[in-house]
Amino acid sequence: MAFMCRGCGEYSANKSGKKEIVALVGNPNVGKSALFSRLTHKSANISNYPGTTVEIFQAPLRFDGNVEIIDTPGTYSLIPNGEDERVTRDILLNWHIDKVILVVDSKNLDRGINLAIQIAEAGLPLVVALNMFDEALSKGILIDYKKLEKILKTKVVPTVAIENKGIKELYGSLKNAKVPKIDIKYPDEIEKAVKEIEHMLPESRISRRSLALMILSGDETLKDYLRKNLKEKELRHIDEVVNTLKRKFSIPVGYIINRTRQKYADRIVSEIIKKEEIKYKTFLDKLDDYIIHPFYSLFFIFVTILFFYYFVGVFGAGVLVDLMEEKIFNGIINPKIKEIVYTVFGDGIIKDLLVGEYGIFTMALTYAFAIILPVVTTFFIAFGILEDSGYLPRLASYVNIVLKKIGLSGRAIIPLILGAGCVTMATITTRTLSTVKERLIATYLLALAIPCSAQQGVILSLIAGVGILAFGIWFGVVIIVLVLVGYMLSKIIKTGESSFYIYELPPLRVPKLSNIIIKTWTRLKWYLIEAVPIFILGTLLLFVMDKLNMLNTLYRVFEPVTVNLLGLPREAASAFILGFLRRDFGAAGFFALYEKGLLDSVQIIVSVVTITLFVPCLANLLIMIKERGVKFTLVALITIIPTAFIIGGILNILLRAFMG
Amino acid sequence: MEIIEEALEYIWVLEEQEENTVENFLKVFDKDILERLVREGYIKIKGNGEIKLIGRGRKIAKKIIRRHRLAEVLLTTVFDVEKEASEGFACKFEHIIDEELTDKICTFLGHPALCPHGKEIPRGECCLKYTKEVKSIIIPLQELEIGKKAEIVYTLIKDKSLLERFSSLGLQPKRVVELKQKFPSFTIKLGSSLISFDREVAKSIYVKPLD
Repeated sequence: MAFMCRGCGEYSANKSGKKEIVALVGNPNVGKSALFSRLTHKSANISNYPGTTVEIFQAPLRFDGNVEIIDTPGTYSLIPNGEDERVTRDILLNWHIDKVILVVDSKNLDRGINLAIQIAEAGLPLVVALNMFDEALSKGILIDYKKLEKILKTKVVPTVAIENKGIKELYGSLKNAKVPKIDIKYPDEIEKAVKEIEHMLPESRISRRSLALMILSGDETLKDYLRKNLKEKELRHIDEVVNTLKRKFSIPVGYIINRTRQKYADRIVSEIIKKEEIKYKTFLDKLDDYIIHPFYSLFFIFVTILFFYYFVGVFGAGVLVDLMEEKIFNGIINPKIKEIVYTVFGDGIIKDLLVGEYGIFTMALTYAFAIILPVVTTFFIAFGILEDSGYLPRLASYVNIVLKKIGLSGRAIIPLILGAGCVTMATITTRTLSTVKERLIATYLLALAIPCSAQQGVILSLIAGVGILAFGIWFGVVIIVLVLVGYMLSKIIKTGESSFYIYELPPLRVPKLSNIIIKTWTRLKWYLIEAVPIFILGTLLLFVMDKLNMLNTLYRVFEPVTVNLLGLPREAASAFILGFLRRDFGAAGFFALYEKGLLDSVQIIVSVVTITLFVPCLANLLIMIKERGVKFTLVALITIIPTAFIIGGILNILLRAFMG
Repeated sequence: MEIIEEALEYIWVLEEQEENTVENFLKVFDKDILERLVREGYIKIKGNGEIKLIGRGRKIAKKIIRRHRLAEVLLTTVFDVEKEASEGFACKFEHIIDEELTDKICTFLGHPALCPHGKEIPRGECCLKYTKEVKSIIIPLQELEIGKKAEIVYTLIKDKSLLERFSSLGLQPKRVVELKQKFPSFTIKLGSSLISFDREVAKSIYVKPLD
């Protein structure tokens, strides 16, 4: 299988069919993941924009351990348009799915029903969850779902996943899932072609008719599957039928097939929907007009940046770090531990290892819990609010023009912004970009110029010590580098075209506190599991080097860069070493230097810019190799390091000249 | 004369499909027509059997193709004639209408670039001037005022994946959209969802404004 994921391993074990496998399928951003976490005990990442789920999640049903639920990436059609959509089709094709829960956005019924038609054609039993039923009502859309049940001849359940409404009923309806009665007649030529190739196709979980329609639509992604299952002669015959059919129409066959389905769906929708024109505009509707406005939107961008600066930089990194570090760790915890260690082990190497200058408690755990934890907590809260508000895609369509200049479509801003949460996860989501060129550029820019949440946190706390001007310089330099490097890359990388940009904006919403809390908690848990061991490892490394007197040598070797070029103290070398392990760890190294009073204002700015541009963390490098290959990763690595140092060096000279 | 026009039109289509060989031409027309076309200086036959339109041959073919395809757009979009049926009417139409009327129809339709079958319509003088003397009822989405509603009349998209994206988002003829914003990106409201796209995409959507 092309996509490995958490939970896949257990799956192959019960292929025998002891457990019932139910797939959640639906258009993007209709709340599949929200429904998933209501149906299971597992919390998938839920956000208010399309494309959050790129990996497959699987977990047992909350109410019945014999049922496994699979969450899939959103899709408009079973004929994939992009890598993320392909995942869903492949699940239906290759996994032994017993039933489908089709999740439909009640506000966009026609699209959901189009997908229902396709799943029905595939011959899979389904139940329909009419999600966001409340939002549809508030927009004056009344749906006669009982009538829809009669038309489809299977269960239809209104739900509001985020408020846990309709979940029990949905689960209860599963046992009555049926294949809807859909009999669409396509134009004669297409029907004839279906008949001609149908009987040759391999047996699979989805019907031959459905498979034939996919092939006739010109679905290239099926080629491998067919090659594996068919003889050479049959393949050639199929190719012939496809090409003959193609020549009969001047527009793509896939389009004709979809139009036919869409007309069928529209007819169903017109029978079950009653629309009341709502004359007044809600507050959010009015707000939306300003957010997408060419001029007023600048105000929202400005406010968002300031919100991050004050909430994460000043409150999180200033107030909370003070509280945690000064009062709790250095005031209470560390002295106590020092005392205990001293009485148990006495003075010596074990004491140094645990509570010395490079001690596990005094350095690794204090960094992780006293400095970075408060910072990332505030960052995750702020980022979660931003995600759930639906603002991010609006920002994306605003900066689309700039991105186009650097060879990316507006779609690419989603991975770039996600990178502000975690660069590694964001690198995975670059799969959703439609051209190779975009994926390469986005991956490179993520590695170079996007600081992850934890790193931003520490950077903000360093910068907050200097003031908002320093913040402006850091932000400005990083953005300029991002645009310039992106522009250069778009000139260098010739493979693939810049694609068109079309994106559906999710509705603006007031973020739900409960979802923010769940999300922040899930991310914090993940952060602690991932980061703390590496912090301890890095500390051990420094400890050993210190004991072997290698740190001094290291400092001396790096002096031409750290001292001469960047104008930083020689100890900065250790921060860069830590930066290799984790981005935030490197920044934390500088934070420690700052706390010791070793950095002045200019040095702070130079060091935060350099460490932002400096190499991505170990985890991201591994993902880069997995997603883009060793060669690309190596090239990225050996270009990023000098870039970071050169820009840091230039900034050092400029700042010294202007600020003295 | 009509047969000459038909023959030149056919060669134009063959050229578009890069199938412009003598062999293909003779599948539909007689040999003496081919000879006449060469003799009267409409076409040239290369050594490898490739037919090329030249001089006035190209000029006439372009005019006919333009009329034919504009007629198709007119019939399918304004009069709602099925695409398959439009072909027959257009064949008659192309020989009746004159230059002036052709330009008027072109302007009325908003200077469409492609016919309903997705083939290119040769540009006329009116398109170059892009005059608005005849108020067109079908305009490119770009020209719609912000805040106004309009019905999608047709979309001119060659790219297959964009076409699929369009149909999956429900951007189809007869759907009513409201233009929310033109800059920096185009944003339209369709039903209860907002869709955002760039100028390149907007260019290919033609709408009929509603009051």
